[in-house]
Amino acid sequence: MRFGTRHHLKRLNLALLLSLALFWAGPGWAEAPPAGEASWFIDMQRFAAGAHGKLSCAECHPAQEKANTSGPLAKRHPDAQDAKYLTASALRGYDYGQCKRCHRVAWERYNQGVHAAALKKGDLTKSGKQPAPVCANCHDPHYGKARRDRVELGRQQTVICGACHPAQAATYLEDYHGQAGDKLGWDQSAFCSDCHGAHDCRSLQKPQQAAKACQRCHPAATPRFAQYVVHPTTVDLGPEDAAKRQRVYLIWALGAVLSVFAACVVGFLYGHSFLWILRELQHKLRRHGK
Amino acid sequence: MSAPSLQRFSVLSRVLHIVVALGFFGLGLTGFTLYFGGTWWAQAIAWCLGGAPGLAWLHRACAIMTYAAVMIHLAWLAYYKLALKGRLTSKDGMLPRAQDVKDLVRHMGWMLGKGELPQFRRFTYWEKMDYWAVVIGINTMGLTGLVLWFPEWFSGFMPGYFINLALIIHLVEAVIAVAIKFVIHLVVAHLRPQVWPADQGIFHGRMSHERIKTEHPGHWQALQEGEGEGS
Repeated sequence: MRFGTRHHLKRLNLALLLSLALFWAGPGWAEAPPAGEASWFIDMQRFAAGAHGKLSCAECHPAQEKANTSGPLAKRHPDAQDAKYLTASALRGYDYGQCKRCHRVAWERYNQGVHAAALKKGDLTKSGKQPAPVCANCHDPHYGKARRDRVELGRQQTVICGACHPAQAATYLEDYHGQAGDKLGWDQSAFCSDCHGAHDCRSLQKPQQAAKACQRCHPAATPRFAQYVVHPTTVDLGPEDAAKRQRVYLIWALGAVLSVFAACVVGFLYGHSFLWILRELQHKLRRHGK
Repeated sequence: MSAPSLQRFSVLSRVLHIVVALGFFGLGLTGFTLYFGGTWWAQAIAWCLGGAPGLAWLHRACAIMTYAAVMIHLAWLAYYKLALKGRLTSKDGMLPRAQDVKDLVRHMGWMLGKGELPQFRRFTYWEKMDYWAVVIGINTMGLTGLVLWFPEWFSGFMPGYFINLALIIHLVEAVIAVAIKFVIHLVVAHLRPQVWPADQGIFHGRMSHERIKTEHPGHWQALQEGEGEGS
């Protein structure tokens, strides 16, 4: 064994560098494209392990000349001869009418909901907002797993819904439902879709509508009970939400006043105790010195 | 106890102090574990205590225990006043007096090197403050806590967003309470140089004549003149 030679050392360094490079790049290769950035290229091993793993490609991607459904999600299959084919968005270009064949209820609810309505209005990117999500923004069609537990799905909702609604996600996480459900993993707590619905995604502005959502877990809930503000934020509030805006301001005002009060009380007492200890120490040390 | 001493706290007070201390510790632990649920340490504690439902159960059990202790104390005061015809308003009682404010100002002057220590009587202003913080605090925490426990019932006669307001009061007061009881109270009553390492009086209930003379000179003088209450 002539391990210490210059030759071996060079090899060792090379191996080290290579493994470092792999270590750095590895996670990037291993991870799925995040929801919303679907790729044209499919990892068939991971596809086979997913919920749709038993389906053949053609069951969801038939060769078609025109969309087989109507509505905002219906799209023509892109022309494979087109030079721009692979640079177009795989996620936005798919004809989600195909999903309807197996997921009829979800399809119908989506089309009755606010995201479909927003898509119908047109390209929201012009107004500076994200375009409304389509099926694959939330559901990874190739790698998504089936039969996941409530908490795992709920935590994913906080991330995915929160990508476009960050103020709502942040306030949810400060609320008891988010603390117990998302943070501490209690499956009986409420996650985004438990109140807003998974596919119609109602904003629950009307008290009657909100009370119905509350009643799923709180049977005695009334419209007045539903005045509870789960998301104390003024982001996205319109002129019709004046009542909620007032409540949010009241909540913020009380929080500010109480925080100032707490800072004064605690600050005074900490200073008082600190001075006191210094004085007693001085007293003791002086007596000790005599 | 070989040195001559006087009884300072009754058996009931000593027991209730321990119950309140334990209950309060449990309330703070479970409540702030929920609030900081996203952090690794809170998740470790929550895992040990049975997750969010375990925390909720323990928090309510501790709340009932602590509240019951304060109520038993108030019931005893009522019994003391009505049945035993005792006096609650003397200079050696727990009621705040104008003298307490003067004592505070004078005490802070002494801390800054001006003047002498005030002639404290049986209970000093900071002891009264510790006491009233618990008596008042347990009621505001208890009331807001009940709103959070039974939101459906409370929203029967008040607007739903009062639950938000109750939550904020509950949170801010919890921060104040923990900052005072777990830091100020421990430091002032047990850890400051004069009483270091611990004031055992609240556990065995007695205070030596020596300590009364030095730390509660006003009380000692009153006792010598036969007007103070010392049992």
